[in-house]
Amino acid sequence: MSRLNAYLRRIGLAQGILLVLALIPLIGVPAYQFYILERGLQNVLVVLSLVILLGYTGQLSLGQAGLVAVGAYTYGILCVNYGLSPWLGLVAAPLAAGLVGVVVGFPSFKLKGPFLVVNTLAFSEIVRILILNNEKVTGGPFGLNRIPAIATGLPLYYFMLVVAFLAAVATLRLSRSHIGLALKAIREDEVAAEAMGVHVRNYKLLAFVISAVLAGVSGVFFANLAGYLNPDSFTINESSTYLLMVVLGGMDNVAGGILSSLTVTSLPEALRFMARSRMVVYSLILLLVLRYSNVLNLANLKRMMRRRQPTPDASTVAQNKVNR
Amino acid sequence: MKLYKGLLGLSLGVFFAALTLVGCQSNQPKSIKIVHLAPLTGSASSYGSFGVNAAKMAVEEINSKGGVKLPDGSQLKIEYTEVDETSNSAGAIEGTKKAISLDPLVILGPNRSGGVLAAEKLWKDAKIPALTDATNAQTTRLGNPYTFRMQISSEYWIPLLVKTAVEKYNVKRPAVIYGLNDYSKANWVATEPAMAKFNLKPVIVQTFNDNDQDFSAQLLAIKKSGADSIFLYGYTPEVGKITRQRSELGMKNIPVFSERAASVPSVFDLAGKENYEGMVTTTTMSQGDPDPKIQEFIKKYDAKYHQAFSASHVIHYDSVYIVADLVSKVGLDREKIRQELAKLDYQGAMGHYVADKEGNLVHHMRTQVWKDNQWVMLMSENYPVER
Amino acid sequence: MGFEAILQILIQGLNMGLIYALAALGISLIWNATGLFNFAQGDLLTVGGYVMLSMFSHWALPYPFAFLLTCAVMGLAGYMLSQGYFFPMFSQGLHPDIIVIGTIALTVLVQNGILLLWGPQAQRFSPPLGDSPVHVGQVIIMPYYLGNIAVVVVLVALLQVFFKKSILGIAMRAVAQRPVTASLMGVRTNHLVALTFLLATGLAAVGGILIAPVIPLIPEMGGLVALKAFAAVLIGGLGSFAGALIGGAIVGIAEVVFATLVVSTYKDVFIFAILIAFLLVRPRGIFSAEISEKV
Repeated sequence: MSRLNAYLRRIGLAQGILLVLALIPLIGVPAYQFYILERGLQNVLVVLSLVILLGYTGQLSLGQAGLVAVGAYTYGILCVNYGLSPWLGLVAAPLAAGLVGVVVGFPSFKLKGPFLVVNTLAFSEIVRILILNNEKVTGGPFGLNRIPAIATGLPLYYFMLVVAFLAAVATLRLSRSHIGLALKAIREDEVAAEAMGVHVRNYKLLAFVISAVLAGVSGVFFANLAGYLNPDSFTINESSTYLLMVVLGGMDNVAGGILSSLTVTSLPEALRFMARSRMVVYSLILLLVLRYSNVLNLANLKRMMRRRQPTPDASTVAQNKVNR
Repeated sequence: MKLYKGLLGLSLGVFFAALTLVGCQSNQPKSIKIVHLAPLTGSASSYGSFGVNAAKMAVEEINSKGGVKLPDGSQLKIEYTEVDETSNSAGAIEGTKKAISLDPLVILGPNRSGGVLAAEKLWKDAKIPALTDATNAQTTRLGNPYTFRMQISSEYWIPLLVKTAVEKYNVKRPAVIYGLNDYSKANWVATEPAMAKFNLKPVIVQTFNDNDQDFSAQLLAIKKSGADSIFLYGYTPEVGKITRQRSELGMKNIPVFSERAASVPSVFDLAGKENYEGMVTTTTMSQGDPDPKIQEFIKKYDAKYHQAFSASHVIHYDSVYIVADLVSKVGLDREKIRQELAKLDYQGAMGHYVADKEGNLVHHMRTQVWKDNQWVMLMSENYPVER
Repeated sequence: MGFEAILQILIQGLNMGLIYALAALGISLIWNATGLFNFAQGDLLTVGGYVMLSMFSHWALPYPFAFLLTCAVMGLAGYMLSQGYFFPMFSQGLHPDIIVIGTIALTVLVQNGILLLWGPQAQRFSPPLGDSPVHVGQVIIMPYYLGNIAVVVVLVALLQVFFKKSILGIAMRAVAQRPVTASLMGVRTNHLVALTFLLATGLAAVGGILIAPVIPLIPEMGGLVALKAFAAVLIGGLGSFAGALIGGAIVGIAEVVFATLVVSTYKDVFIFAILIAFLLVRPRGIFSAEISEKV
């Protein structure tokens, strides 16, 4: 057991989880549950993108669905309309998403809090509306069908797992690197960071681009899993769900993000027996977990050490506002 | 480190409990399993409830008589399960996978063309016949022998509408306004050729987005064009609002021609009595149809649910009866059922169902007008079946 | 284009703009008092509309009584929401992003709750002034346009008076501007935050009641109004009441003007582009209201 402990300690919780996921098909999971698992895995990449953007850099974005859409549709359009190989699509899509990430990130560096959120939301909606209204290219409301896949079934699963593993490792490395430190400095106090020589604007842009690229890869996997794309899959609701996942996972915690992605994806399915009330129960659960996230959260404990529990009074309300 | 292991184990345990709880299937006695993929949530949920109610009514009628008698003499009841397909394509895929995991004999739905396009290869691979709702012509042209359509494709919804407009209403300067969704756009695509047959051309064409709330710009443009009629294609909230807003902008006397989404009762509520008066729609089943079987169905539905309903969305009443009928002929074999469906010739409560080579089962259209608080049937057309 | 056609378009735009303005007012209100941007304000508006539907349409209560009762019920709901959910989150010092995401989770709850309680069918009730258009020359006005404008004007005037003159209003301003000082002076912060939420949900109720006859009541309505409301509040100036009104008017009118002159399919893109432009150049909005300058 101590061997296992030592091993886990070395590879980290995040990698441990992914390792377990690799072993799951061996115990035989029914097809439907397996699909949910794959969707959870696909969402992991978007959650990782938010771990970097929100967790490390403190930029709250409601626009990830738009970036996932760019990735998915770039892949789909190149493969279906232009007959490109799916592997080329896999490379091109994140690049396209990254480019859009630059466009989104550019006006964003001055913005904080709700201004930033609404800005990212606006961009995401613009992407969705553009996809919806350009039928010749994107299929518009009829969607894009018969999208070729890089792989299907188990090979696809393991491919996504490998990519997720690499992404998780890269994110963790990023966290410990000087870039990561710069991002976290920005999250804590932009002015101080700038004073210490961190080019806030460039690093913010970098965070946006990296997170956009990750979201783009997730979009490719979405296209692979579904084989069909429709703009109704990339709305505010999806962006909200990604945000909820990353917050429930502890915002800057990779392992937590992976777990919460899997759990939140499977939660509506687990609640299916409730028929019409399942979404109400689902959102109640989320609200409660958020409310008590300082207790329930995997890694928010670390965060709570920084913000010590004050007595409920006016100063905390003031403090909340000061952090705008 | 214990904390780590503990947390890891706990979280994964919770996750898998959540997953596996989903798939718990106790050993049930044999039954005729029908899974209905209906939009219970999301923007199509208003249609979903009609379809589910109608199907449930059929299931109860059949089961209360003891179920279905199989060729081998045994009698089995129908086990009906509804699965939410959430009105969008991703939900349709998940719902279909869930439905397949329940091992049904036949699937009813999904409701929207996007959902059918997204999920059809799933039931093809699983070799489960699906009686779908959607009207996009493409859904039965994908080479999927398991897809059947309990509807008639959008190509047919419009010609009779145009014919009615020309022959009964003497329309000469039609305006068209349609929503940018697959359903409405397909109707628009069918409109131009249909109008051309009568030497008509729209004097103006306008579009709107789903969830738009104000249509002044489009309606004012239509008013300016001097159109004498409005062909309106969209989903319930927009159709209701446009029907009302046209009156608000001074076009109350301009008749509206629409199709099945407009005959949903809530459109009447949204548009308002005076504005809805005179609405002409195409439908596969008109509540103004004097056919006694149809009137009987309407009475039954009303007695059971006390709810105004949309005639074109209760098709799965007949779906259930069709499945029951086929099971009584060939038993519980999916492949045999599929073959029977492919050569179907069945007289249901709401119409005559004949399978053509693509799997379309409905080949008739009616037009109706709302007059004095009820639907009056106007014209009716049957279409040749290519077997 | 004729003068009357232009007037007609302006009137249509203003009608929608009022609704965005009401949602924007609620957002600014909560923002001023707590620094929280309430993403669920649009959905609260929708609930207000549905509650009124039940009271006025289903239970056939007389309109003024149903109006007040709806506002009271919604106000109470806001009070409880604040005391039970949001204020505890403030006082525990939870990261502000988490609290904001709490409002996002609230939107999911409200939309699905509405679906569960009132069903998926689009619904509507008739406004008290009737549904028959009034012709003024070539221009057509619905009676409820004027009613809505009147209500909003009176409301904003009342709010101004409230915040400037009444003890409660002054106390709320004190808490918003100088929370620590206020509490030292004996003001119960938690009650005042709760009162702010109460006011905001009450405003949402009014908004919902006014909007329900105009656009179909569907569970997702909140999300759709919200986007435009966000644009309105940011363009007009977050935290400013005048800004909420002007921002709402601008968004409403710009929408319909663009739809008329250019193409209706991209009118939302147009609004978002304006919004992004403002965020780039003047994020404070037109009436840049720093906390010390509001009202």
